[in-house]
Amino acid sequence: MLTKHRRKAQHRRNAQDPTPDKRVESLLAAAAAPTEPGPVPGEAAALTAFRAETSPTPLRRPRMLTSFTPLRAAAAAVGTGVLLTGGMAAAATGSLPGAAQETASEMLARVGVTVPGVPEHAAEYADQRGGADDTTGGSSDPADGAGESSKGAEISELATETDSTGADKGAEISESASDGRSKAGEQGTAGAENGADDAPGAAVSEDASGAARENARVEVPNRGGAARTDGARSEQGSGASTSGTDTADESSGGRSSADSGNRP
Amino acid sequence: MATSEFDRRLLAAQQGDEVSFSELFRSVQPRLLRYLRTIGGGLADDVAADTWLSVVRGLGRFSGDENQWQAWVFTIARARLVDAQRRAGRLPVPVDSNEVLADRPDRTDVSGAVEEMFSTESALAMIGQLPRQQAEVVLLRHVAGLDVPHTAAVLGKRPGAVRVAGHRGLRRLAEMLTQPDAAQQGSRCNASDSVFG
Repeated sequence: MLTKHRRKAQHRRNAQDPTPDKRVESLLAAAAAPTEPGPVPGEAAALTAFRAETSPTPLRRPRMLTSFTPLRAAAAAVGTGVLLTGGMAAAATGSLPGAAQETASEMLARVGVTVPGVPEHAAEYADQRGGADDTTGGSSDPADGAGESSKGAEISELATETDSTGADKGAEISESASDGRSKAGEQGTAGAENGADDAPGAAVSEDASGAARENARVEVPNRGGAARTDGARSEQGSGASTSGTDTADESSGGRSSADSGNRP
Repeated sequence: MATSEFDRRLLAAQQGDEVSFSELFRSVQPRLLRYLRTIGGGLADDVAADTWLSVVRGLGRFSGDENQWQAWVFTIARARLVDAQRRAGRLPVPVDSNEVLADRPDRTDVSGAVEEMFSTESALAMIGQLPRQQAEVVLLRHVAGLDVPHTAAVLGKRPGAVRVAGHRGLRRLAEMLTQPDAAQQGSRCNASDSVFG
């Protein structure tokens, strides 16, 4: 049984799309009669289009092959030859950058061609090949040459095995890495006017300014002095560095003039 | 169940299954050809081929139920037909009404022989004599089997306009059946309506 709403909807549909009379119904039925079984016109063409559309490789590969014409192939070969010849010429004259020259020398040596190695001027630049464990050129100092053992491994070992901590550790590693040229950790207020060349406490005087710093650092590797420098540094900015002065005096046997530069 | 079956076929066809695509094709093509041949005359077969090319290209992007599928195919076909008729620079070839009505029995015989009166071709020929818009509505509604909203979508009209055109088309067909001269007049009207339609 139809509900009231459905009856209304059906009535509305009938009013807008009325049922045709019997003859028209017959005509419409004939127009919409089922087709006879058998092939449907146009099916073969539609299936061909369907296959072409869903084919995974719709004739693209042959197009790519045909686009690679003999003329383009010849041009590519010429370009490749020019690049190789130019690279060989540059390698033979030794004009490549350091790392490239080294690589070219090694590679060409395998095929029996001898070209110059890394030029002298290339050693000034950090473009050499190498790794952390490479024993043939791993040094951070280019002047060390290729035969020296790895400086990086040495520094790494020092960094992991040293007993020092903090700024002392950094200063120790830096000094080792720079072969003594580093000034890391040299900061303080204790002064030393003269070099104290023969004083065991010359390192204390490194915190002073001027030539005394250089002389003390170079001449005397003093551990005790360096440790005491911290005491002098701790009072930096407070005017006179009495403890640093005392320490310097003690270490230098009274010859140090530390603290003299800190007086206001 | 029919919808789920259609969904299965559509999904399989979108994945490249030829059998499913053939089933979809056969579910639409006979009615599509009747619509195109009635409206487009000799252009029908070429337009149908172009239609399926477009359908194949857009099949992967289509989503919808069976009614939407049919409406989509008929929308493409109608657009291709309009393009083809513009290119051809001519209107649909009118059906020769004398030939269509030659087999019609005398009016006195109509009451007892209605069922045997029409073949599919003659029925479509009579529908083809309607004004273009009415003929399209009658074909899409009663031959293609689309409902009013989808017919409106195919024609780009409002549903109300589709209902009015359908009502007028059926009334005109009834007049053509009851009055033999009405068919002649309908044929003439068809030609004039087509010019402006």
